[in-house]
Amino acid sequence: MYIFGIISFLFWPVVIIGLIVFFAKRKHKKSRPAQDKEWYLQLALCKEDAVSQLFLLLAFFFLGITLLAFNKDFGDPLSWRTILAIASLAGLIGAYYFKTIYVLAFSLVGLTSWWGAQANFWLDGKNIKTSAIFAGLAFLALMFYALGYLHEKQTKFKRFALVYLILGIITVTGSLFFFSTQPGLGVMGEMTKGGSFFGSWQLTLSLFIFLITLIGANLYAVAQKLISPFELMAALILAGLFSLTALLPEQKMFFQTGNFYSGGGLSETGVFWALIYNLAIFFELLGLLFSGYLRRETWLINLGALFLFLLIIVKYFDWFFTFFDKSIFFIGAGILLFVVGWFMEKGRKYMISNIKEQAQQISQPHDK
Amino acid sequence: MIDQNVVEYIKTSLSQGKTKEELYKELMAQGWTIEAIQENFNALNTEEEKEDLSKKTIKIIVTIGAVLISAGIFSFIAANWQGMTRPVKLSIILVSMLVSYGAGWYLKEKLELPKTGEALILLGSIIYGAGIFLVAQMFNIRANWPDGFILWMIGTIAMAFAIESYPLFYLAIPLGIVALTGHPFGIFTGSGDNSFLLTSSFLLLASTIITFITGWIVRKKIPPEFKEFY
Repeated sequence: MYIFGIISFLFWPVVIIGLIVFFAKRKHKKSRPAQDKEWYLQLALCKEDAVSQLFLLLAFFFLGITLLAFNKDFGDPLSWRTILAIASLAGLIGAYYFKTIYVLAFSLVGLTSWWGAQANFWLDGKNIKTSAIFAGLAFLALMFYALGYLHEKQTKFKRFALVYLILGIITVTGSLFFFSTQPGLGVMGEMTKGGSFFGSWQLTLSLFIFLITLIGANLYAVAQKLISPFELMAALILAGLFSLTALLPEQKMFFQTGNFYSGGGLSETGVFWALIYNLAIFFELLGLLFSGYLRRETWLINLGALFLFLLIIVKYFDWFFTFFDKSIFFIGAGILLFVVGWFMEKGRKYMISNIKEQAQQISQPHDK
Repeated sequence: MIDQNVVEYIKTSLSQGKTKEELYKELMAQGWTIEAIQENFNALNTEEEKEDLSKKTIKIIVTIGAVLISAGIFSFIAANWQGMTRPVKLSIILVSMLVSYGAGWYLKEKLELPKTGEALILLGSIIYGAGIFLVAQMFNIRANWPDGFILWMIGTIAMAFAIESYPLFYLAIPLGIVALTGHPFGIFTGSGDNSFLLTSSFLLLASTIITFITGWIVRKKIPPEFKEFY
């Protein structure tokens, strides 16, 4: 029984690692980086790369756990947040030294989580609105987006660029999506309760540094022609929206008690913010698709199309599930899926074939 | 037009270190067209792919075999555990581990059957891990359970380096993940056993150093053709 317990405990880690190794090896078989234009999309370039990256990732995780264990043995002289910061910083240094993307992704997540936890700690006991923490995390995500494109300049850092970009895009899209829903608006209402974030100098200083770095990184990327003015504008608009969220006075999103669980409908303020965030996510995803088209990046087009598809489906359920008769709802959902699928297939095909055609025209010799 | 003689000639020449350009020149001088030479090169690639697929099939079959045998051994031990004396239990663990390692090494190094040999060594590593837990249970050793996985991981890494076997590295990674997942529960909830002195902490430190060095060494083995991407 004991052995079976161990085997069942091992099952999921084995499956996950197996899948990573399988995809790494499959990609490797399909194409060699030297002949593949999109080599940087591979999780690992060869088996040595996959194994070494996983072991280095394990090493930095073990470092964190070792520090936690010694900290406990010596009577907790450090907080768990400090240990998280130390392990994540060590991971970041290691990631750049060894050029490992797995360690980089987890270190960035670790550092972001550290700041979130530390900011929460700074607000402990003070009546300060927590929307400032959300704004700080969103600034970091927008910063990652600009940093991603700054990393694209060198071949050796192309895979790093992808990590920064994906982390940035997923966080911003996820936040916009969450605040465009009823539970998200409820959380936003709760977050705006309390005094101004200027009451905590640490939080104010962090937000100021993040904002300056974000604007600086984006302007530098535009100056280097790594991002278009259109992308700079989108990043600044989003930064403005998130800054506004941090500065807002208390917002009553729902009628009655202001609690979204009470069943009261959206107040005028709630409707206003629902409209703003729904429009923001819709245009952000369109912008993502457009950006992928301009950059001739099929992965960006695919990611944007996937998110747009998910958004349409979730919004359909969110808005019409309670209004419609169930049979009409499901028939409508089926038709919607067909229509969305048709448009997406056609649009994606059109964009990708255009990119390929342009690439062929460039590579063909001008024989006249 | 594929000519088996040309395919063989390309294969031999490439293994002797001749470049593709040299071969193209030579074959064109013999009257072959570029398209025909290209076809023969493609045929060579197809042959290599077929060979790869066949090797993979063997690897999968023998690995499944190793897993099935280990499941059988575990089930036999579990069914008869209570009725065995301690020396018998220990002998079963040690003998089965040594036999798998020895047979695996013999097949791999002496009979040049690397796939089957590595599968047997993998079996030996699984028996080694099971042995750690069975011995701990037999002698009621006071320790945190994730420590067993750390010891298992360290042993597997040592064996992986000794015989340069990637399947063993693949086994060591989930073992490390299990230990990593298990330890924080003990640290935060205080539910872990109060093991002898700071054994767990030192084992964790050892695993940090060992996994780091392993990652570093394996990274140095990345083929030179990939270096420009790092």
